[in-house]
Amino acid sequence: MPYVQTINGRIHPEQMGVTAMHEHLLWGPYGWEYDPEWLLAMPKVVEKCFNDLVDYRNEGGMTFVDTSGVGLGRDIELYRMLASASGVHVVASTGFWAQRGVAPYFQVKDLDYHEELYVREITVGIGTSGAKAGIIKVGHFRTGITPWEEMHFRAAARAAKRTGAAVTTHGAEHAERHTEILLSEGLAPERIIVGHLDSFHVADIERDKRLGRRGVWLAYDHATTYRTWSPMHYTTSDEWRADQVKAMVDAGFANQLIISADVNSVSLGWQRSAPYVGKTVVGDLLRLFVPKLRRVLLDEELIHRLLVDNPRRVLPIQA
Amino acid sequence: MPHVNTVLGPIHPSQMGFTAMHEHVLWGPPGWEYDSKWWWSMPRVFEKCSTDLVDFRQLGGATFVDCSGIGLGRDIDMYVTLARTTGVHLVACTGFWADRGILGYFRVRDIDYLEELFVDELTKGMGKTGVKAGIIKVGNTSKQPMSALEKLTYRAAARAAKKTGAAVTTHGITAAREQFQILRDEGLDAERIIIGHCDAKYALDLERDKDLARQGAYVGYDHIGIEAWSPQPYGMPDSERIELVQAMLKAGHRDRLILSADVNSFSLGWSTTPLHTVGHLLRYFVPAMRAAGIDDDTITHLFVENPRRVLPMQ
Repeated sequence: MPYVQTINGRIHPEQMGVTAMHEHLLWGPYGWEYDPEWLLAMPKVVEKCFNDLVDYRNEGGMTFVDTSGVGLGRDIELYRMLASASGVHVVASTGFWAQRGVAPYFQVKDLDYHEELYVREITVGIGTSGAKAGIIKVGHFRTGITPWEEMHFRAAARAAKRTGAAVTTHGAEHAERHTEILLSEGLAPERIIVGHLDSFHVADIERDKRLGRRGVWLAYDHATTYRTWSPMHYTTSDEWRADQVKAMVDAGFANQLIISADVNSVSLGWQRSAPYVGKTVVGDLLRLFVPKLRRVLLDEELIHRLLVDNPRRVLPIQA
Repeated sequence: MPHVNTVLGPIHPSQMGFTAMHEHVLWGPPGWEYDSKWWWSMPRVFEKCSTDLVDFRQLGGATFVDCSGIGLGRDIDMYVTLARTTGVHLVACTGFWADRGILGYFRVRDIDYLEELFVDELTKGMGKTGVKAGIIKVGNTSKQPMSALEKLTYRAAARAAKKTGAAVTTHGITAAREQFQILRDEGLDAERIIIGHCDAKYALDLERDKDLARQGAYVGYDHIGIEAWSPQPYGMPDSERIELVQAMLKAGHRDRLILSADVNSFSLGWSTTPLHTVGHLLRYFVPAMRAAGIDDDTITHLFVENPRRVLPMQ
């Protein structure tokens, strides 16, 4: 029976409720844990993450998917504590962001190793914590897909096939190519979430429709970020984003859409992320973006589908 | 090989360093986790505990033994995060405080169940966390006859200690001799027993302490820093505690003294969070011992050597 693997154990898909599918509690370049600054700042880190989760829950949120992955801020004991105290279901991910975010140790490992690593984190546990990952994250940098990145996409697809976990991606610049890699490994399209399609610098609604026709999930997951204050190249506005979602609904893809906010509750010293930390929080997905979506969709059932039904169909581990 | 079960895994006894043997990170009556107030103040709770432990470490502290036990505030996920981020070796305990701190679920169990519970927590892990306890705490209500349930927990503790090699640390000073007797009757070696709270103001008895030490038990003067500010009946000036320590040293019991501060870094609604923190041991008490003429070698002996002998799982 399908189940969701939270860091505090399995839950039934019905328990998921409103789900943010692409978020980060902690996000930092590998090596962050050797900076004593973060250890000393830990009470502040705890407070920020806790407040964000409680706020999210008060706004109606129930499940939070952390897509940080191996070495990039993911801190299982801290996540467990935050999940227990806030009452939010936190799902951790295995896998990596782009090659430049991969610790040297994993840079030299081959496809088989990575497949086993992801399978192990989903079925046995993450490190010595005993907590298991609930989804696989893969990505590439915006300049192109490196051979290493192609390798980890393939490893993710194989691990997903073996475990029943979904794969969620980063790298809208080559969304169709990386989707092709995953599909070529025989992974079913309904187990693939193509992320960051609302990256403004490469936005292409025709591309999104082509992907939609392949049967994959389409994620508009930079909600709440605005060009006016964010230094990131991919941002635009929630109004534009809502229009994109509306266009995809009109084109008949409502059952394949995912919305999320890709917020770092705390950025652990990643230079470009640092300036806008704290500007928005995951609760703003529900507080700010959903009202804008409501204005163009004019359909409460559709909102429910995007926030609850769609995540419930894709996130659970198929077993 | 002897080792210390910290919440982050086993360490070698030589890694223990300056050790506070009877403390609490969190301390609350059973049921505290159902009070939504504590969820909401969790960041504040974490900050207080983190600050106290970092302070302890910066003063030279290395190991902190949490004597809260089952249902009494012990929060393993938080303890693990605190240990990782403060660098202090945190040891959690299995067992209970006194009768009225024992959850209903455990009150109806027999001795075999309790023994197995303690053994499981020491050898397999507490709850589903996989984190192992490092010592057994048992207690009784002071100034009252020991209840049947309390006697049961002492006997179960002795059996679990024999099986696992863990030490037993106690609460409930007015029954000190009875505690010792029950544990010994179950066949537990005297040197695996720490009789706690022997510096309770209302039950000072130097002859009792010497007698226990002569028989091989460790004597705990573990209310250090609980002075005039405290509403507790067991508080008294540290200077009087130092007199007790000196008397025991003079009687030749340097190997049998355990010193600690019995702080609650955060009290979850049982009593108010005390004014002193575990840093008091190093910031005020050690200098006061020096000023009273106790030499550094002896101070090291009491805070480092004695814990290193009694705490590790044998």
